[in-house]
Amino acid sequence: MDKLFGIQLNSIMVALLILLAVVFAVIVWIGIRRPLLVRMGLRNAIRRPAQTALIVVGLMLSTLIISAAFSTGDTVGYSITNLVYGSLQGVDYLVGFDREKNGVEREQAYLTTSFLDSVRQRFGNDPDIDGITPLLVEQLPILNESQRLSQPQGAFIGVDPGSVASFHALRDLNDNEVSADALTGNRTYISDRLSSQVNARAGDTLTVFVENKPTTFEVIGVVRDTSITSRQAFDGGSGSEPPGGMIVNLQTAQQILDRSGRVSYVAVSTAGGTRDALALRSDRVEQKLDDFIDANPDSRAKVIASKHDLVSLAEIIGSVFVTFFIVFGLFSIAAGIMLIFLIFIMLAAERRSEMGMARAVGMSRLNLTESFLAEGMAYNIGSAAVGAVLGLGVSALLVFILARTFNDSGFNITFHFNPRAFVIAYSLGVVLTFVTVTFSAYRAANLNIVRAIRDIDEPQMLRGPSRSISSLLLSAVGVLWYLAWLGLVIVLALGAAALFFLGLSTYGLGLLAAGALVGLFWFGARLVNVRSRRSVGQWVLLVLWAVAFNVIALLTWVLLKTRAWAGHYRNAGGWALWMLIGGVVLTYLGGWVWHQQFAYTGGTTLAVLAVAMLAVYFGTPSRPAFTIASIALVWYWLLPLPFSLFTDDPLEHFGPLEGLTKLLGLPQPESDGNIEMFFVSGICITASATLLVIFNADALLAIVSAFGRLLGGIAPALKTAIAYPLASKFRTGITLAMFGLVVFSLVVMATLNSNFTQLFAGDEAKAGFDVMVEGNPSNRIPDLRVALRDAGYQGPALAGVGTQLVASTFGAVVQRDAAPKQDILPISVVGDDDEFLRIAKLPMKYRAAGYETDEAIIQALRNDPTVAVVDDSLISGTNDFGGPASSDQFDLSGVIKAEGFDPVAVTVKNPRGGDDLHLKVIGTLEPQVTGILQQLAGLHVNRQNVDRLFGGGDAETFFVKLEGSPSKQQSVDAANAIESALLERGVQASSIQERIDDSSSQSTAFQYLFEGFMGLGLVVGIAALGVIAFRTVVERRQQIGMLRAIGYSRRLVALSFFFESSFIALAGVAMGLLLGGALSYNLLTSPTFTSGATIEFHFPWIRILVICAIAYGASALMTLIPARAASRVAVAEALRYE
Amino acid sequence: MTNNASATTDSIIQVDGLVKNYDTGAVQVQALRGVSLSVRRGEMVAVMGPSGCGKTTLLNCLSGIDDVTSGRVLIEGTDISTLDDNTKTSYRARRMGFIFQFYNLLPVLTAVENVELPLLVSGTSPKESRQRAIEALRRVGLEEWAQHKPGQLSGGQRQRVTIARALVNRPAIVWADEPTGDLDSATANDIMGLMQQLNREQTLTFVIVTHDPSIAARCHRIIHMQDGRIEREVVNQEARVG
Repeated sequence: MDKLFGIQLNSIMVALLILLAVVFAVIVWIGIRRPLLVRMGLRNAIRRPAQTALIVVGLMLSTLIISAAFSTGDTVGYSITNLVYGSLQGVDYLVGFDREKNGVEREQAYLTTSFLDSVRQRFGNDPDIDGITPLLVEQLPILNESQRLSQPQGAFIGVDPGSVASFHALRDLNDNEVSADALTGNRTYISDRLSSQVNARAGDTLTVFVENKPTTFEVIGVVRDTSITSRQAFDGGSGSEPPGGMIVNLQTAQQILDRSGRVSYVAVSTAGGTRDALALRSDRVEQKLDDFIDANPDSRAKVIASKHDLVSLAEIIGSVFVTFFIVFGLFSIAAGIMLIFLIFIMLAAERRSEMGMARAVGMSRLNLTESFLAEGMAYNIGSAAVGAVLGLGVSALLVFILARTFNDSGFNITFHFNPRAFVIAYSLGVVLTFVTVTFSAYRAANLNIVRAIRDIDEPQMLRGPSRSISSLLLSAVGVLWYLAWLGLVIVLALGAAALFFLGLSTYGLGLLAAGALVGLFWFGARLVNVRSRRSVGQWVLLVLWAVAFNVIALLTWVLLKTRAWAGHYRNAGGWALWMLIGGVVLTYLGGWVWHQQFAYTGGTTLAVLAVAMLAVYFGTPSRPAFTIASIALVWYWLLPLPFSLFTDDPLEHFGPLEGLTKLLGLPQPESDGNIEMFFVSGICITASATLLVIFNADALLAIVSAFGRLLGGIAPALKTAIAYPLASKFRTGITLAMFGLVVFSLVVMATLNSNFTQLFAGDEAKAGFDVMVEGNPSNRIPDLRVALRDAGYQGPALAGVGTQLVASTFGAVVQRDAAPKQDILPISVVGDDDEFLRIAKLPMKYRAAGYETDEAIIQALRNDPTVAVVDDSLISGTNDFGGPASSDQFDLSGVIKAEGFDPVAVTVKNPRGGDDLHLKVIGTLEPQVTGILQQLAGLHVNRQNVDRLFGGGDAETFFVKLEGSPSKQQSVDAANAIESALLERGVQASSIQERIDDSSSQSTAFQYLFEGFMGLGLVVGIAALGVIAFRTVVERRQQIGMLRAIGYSRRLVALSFFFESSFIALAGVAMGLLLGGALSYNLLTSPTFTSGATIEFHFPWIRILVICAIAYGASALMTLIPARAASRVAVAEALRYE
Repeated sequence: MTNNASATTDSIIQVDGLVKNYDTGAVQVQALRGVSLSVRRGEMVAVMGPSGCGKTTLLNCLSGIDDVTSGRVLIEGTDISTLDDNTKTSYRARRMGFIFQFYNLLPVLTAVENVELPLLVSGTSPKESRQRAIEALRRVGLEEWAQHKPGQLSGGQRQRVTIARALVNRPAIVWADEPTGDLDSATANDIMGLMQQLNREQTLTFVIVTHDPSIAARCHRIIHMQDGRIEREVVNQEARVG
């Protein structure tokens, strides 16, 4: 894996290492300047080992998550790359027939042996190329009669024994090379996969059907599946497991297939081994091949695949995995950062009076910040390393589960350790923690000495000192000073870094100059605020400073001179004003200029919060101000709820800004968001809900008081359990937000997963049938019922048999009548017979105007040969991997966008001749129809069209409905019975329910894996509760003593602590549950999110309850120990405790 | 608790040979070295002595919030040194009140909520608890401040809340550890006056640990301690008469 979020990983690593160096430099600087502060910090760290252990656990969690994400992505990328190498072996380029340029006539889609000869002549002595070999590949039914097993679409591959050896691709199962010279006459090697599919081994006889004519081969060995020996890597194959291959002598293959003088591919191997081939380092050979092909246009050839491209693709998939894990881990990382913040808030609270004393005896705020920083970094440096290592462990576990999930598909995943990813995870963990600790330390150090010493509450932070507009404006200027100072520091830091690297590149001399410049700036700036009379030397230095740094010096001078003034006037009101301005500007830019949802919604949220802060500044009590703001924000983020419960109108009709702009006749905002909006909405919505809960939870106290009698003896414990968290709003708010955020993310993930699984694994995925029978193109079956009767079928009774004739991409092209002429593209045309259409249940995503129901469309398809229906992939504008559709894929995404579209006229042609079909597309299938039965993909027409234009098509697929309501086992029995009865005809039958179950079990395992990964955030939340609970026991020791003195029993004290943690945990769980459920509902009922698919929303109660039970249960267990410790506090000692 | 006149001559606290050792690991400290004393119901006793002489330890052992090493502590005829923790806790909730130097109020609860806590703990209904808490606050002159949290009250007001909390369960004995130690002299005088009034009107027994001779001078009896022993006892006739 080389890139993440489009940035080179090496660049990320270098940047992080620089930041890490800066972090360490700061610590060393503090250590040298103030060793006492470092000692203070370190002694605090070892003062309470249990608490330190908990803090280390808390700090390491973010690093753990980052490390696990990187390591898992690396492993996946490495495993796919391994798969590519293992499959390709020596094949670096594959030259094949150029279908794009030369049409799609199946009979002609070959290269000639004369082309092969000219390639050999041109490149035979090229030092860059060490192998050229031809391959003839055909898809044929392969039968093992002794076992009565078949592979209807096996790869029949002819190889040239003289030249294939240089590709090292014929290897037995012990990875030893076998000789192709043994492939004489009708002797064959079979690939491992084919061996399993037809249960054959050396000595067995296999039969191949070509044009219904059988030919038998003796199996002389089983070889590994590679690009030479089976269908994979280069030509993919279809379905979850590509068919295995049968390798014979090229001459034999040409003779049996009647393809004398033709080959399918020319494989080219470049100098070097499998993993260090020249092709991976240079595109020189590809360029030569391209030039040669261009010089021989009659060859109709093209380089259709290269090892380099496939390895790059594997690495991209790896980085997609990392991105996926990182994005879904963001919630946990955010929770981890909040935990770090929380830990330092608590440490600061614990030492408040100590800090007040320290300030009183002369320590500056900077000193306090440095001391905290030293302590924080003492925890951080070790815990990040532990986190990064444990992340590897978590990754190994995830990989183990992934490997089991993909076990059946033949994709072998092995754990891979990449030191670069480890370094990135460690550095990122240390830097993130450093930033958080610096912020918390700065915040903690800004205390009032008297209040700190006397342990008096800080005054309301948001309340304005004089509540006037003028003081607000002055405060805004004070904040502006701060922002300018921050900007100056950043500019200077960047300048210093640039000078440092410039200095490095000039071998020391530059470093001296850079040092002199930095020194000049530093000492010059220190002279600005000198109170005593400046000496001549100082004046000279000051003038030099002003000249050397001119604009920067002027700004620095202004800022230093106004520092005290700005500090005096700066308060929360100024910040709120800038928040409001920033929010409004962001909203405007996001909605009307950038069209970026993150900026648009984030800006609105900032603005609303700023208004609440300003209201408090001007004297409004906090409670109503933040209650109104938080309700407004929760409502804003949950739109279109609650309206969507009563009406189907889309979201835009209910957006407040949209409504306002519409009312004023202004342009409407437009914004688009990606997956990051999941994270942004999660953060905003939980933050808003947390405000709502925190400012209104004292209603719970009233309820407890009101129902005190019912609660009996535990009422006092409940009362204190609620009162304490409410008294520490900030601390409780962060913990609640942390817990709520993690539960929210898990609920959304679980609900989305469950709904999508249900969509693709529900009854609609069966399309109304029980068994699917894929016919053999070389041995056609006109009527399945007749064929089964003749073959003596004795399985479960058939209620109906629908037939589809398929004219594949080799045989059909389509053109949209309104599109330019060159848009003639291949398509799979599916002819549905009347019985199929009568039985099938095919829900439509969009219907054309004039067709009110799905039945009307099906009825039209049955009776009208001029109408057609397309599957969802043809209107989604994406390929199979979710990426944009390629230009050679027929696509109506820009044409069919919504219900009631105008029928789309298309013309279907047979390149081999015949009258064109002029059709109208009148409907599109829901995506779930082709989710499991991919055979239903394509352009559906009435069967008579395929009969008429394509002579019955290339193959048929039968869809069987059994009598009654068959169980899965009955449908499996029926499929086995059909396949067995028609063994000689080479059909492949499968139970549709079994296919659904196989698919959903794999996707469910994958979903659980992701949910498990996201669940790491729960560990953060639980650790937070543990930290709080342990700390509160220490903090409230004296109060516990008093409670015990006035009659609280041990049990009641323990219960009080237990309830307190439970209150936060349960409130977080309830918040996450409600918000997550609401957002999931919004997403799943939004056509934009589901790409138009209609999803019957259901809430996976059991799964969610399990998540909630785990969340609460684990947090309850975590608080048992501190609760017990609280109950065992010695009363007399506690009362003396200070 | 309201007692009749004859009860004032009863011995409510009887201590025989009380020893309390603290084992700090390195050394063993003898905090109380065989203390014996008796306190009559309705008596107001001050315990004085230099720092570290064992005053607070004595109060803790008598009130049952600390275990004794040996000796006997009879409170209303019950040897509390033999009771298990739950029984002692329950006894404290019903029959004792506490006043501390640093108030020890729960900062997160309002004054009235702090005062009603002992009642709620001992199973009194919430409604009655609230009524009695307000009544207790009224008695200490803080009815108007019932909904304020400790952080919003002055030192004297906080100590009045503590006294209200000590009275609310109508205890037999109120233990006060330096009740005026954190107050200015005027407020201390005010608080002491309140305690004397309650002692007179409700025949409450007070055991007050104090450094302040002017506080001790307003008690019926002064017990002087030195090195874990009772050095001497002085009966304050003036206070008795007063």
